[in-house]
Amino acid sequence: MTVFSGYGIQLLHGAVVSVEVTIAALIVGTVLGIFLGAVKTYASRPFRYAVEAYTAIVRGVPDLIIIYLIYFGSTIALTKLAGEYVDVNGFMAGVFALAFIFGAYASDVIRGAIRQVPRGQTEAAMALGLSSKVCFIKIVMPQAWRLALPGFGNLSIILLKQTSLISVIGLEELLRASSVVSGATRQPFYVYSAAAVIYLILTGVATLGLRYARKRADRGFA
Amino acid sequence: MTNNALANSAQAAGESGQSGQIKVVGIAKRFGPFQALSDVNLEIASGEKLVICGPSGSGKSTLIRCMNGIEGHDAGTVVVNGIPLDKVKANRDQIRREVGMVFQSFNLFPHMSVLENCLLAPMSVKGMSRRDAKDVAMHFLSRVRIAEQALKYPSQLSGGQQQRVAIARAMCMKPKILLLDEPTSALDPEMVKEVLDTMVGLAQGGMTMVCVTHEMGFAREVADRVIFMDRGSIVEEAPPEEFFGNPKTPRAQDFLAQILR
Repeated sequence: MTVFSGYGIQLLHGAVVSVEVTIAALIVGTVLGIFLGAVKTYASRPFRYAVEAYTAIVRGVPDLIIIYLIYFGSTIALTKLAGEYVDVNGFMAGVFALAFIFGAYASDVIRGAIRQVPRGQTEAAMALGLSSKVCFIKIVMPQAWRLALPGFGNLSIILLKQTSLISVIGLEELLRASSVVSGATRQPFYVYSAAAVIYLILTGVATLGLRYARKRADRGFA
Repeated sequence: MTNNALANSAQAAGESGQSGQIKVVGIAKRFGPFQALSDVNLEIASGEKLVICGPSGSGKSTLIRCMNGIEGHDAGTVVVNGIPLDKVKANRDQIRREVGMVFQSFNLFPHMSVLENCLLAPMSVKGMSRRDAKDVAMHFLSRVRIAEQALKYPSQLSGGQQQRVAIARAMCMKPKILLLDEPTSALDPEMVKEVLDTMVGLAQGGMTMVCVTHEMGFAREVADRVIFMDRGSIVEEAPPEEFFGNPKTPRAQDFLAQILR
């Protein structure tokens, strides 16, 4: 590999880390988003307000600051707990911070989608004697999921690009790798262009994946 | 022949318990400022076929929806199969196991095939194995003459077919009581008959049936009793010949004049 005098491979390593962070944050964030979306729709007032407050905070505070707060906050917390200095794993902190942000936005998308599922669906499930848990998992969520997918897809693409933000906590993902390589090769323009192309390819693949997911979720709907 | 087979299965379903009674005592229901039901009293015997009719907004749908707790009532009591329908979750669950419901807009689960629609409740609520549940489902799907469509999605079926699937889905739980809330009102005219025929077939069994409908042919053929509601109350009740032939109250006379026109 002679691209960027042998540093090209470092960019690819960075890209792999970016993809890993995205997938991990997507999984955690989706679970969080579905849970919080359900809380916003069904739970009693105090719980709903708590989740609304969480969403308002994430919406109102810049992502970078949230990432810093979670990274340094968890360093302080773990250090206090352990009684000695703990170096927080950048990957874990990054995943957690991005999932924390993703979950807040996803919860609104999910809530909106749950509300769009016709009332008759829940009524039919109740009339059949299904428990509210089964009703949510088997009836409401699969239909809400289909409605949530376009918005959810946008959030996922944004998440992939947001992974570049966690370069600030020292994790060598694609952007940080680019900055290292551009320093070493003194070809910042070309290196960052290459990084841009890699992001573009990744988001392109993600878009195709989402299109497939949408088709799958549309089964049964004319 | 199909109707006989359907009747037999309905009979089997009806016999599985000692009672299929519904007792409604003094119930009231309000939606904001609108009084949907006020002091409604009604006793439905096991095996009885009851038709409820009345103008829109008269509370007939609300009444039938109070019989399985899809709608909660504000006052009074509802007792189904001897079980009070109250805030106790176990009671409500028990009642819903034994009471089937068919809706005006079918409410089939669009993301599931016809067969899966019929399998879900028997497997999830009754804990039946997939195999047993499938036997039951195919039995009822063939009774409503739609077995060959079992693997299709609801959206691939006509309205009449969808409603027959909804009936089969309800029957798969082998309910003692079947509630039907305007089952033919959302159908194109040419599909009404196939659904009514299916309902007539069910009625020949021992199952209790409560049906909100304006289909007088069905009421005459099947109903033991017709109840006429207006403004949240039961205004008149009589056997179908009497009700349709010689309605006593002016409100029922007006209503019948309207729908007969």
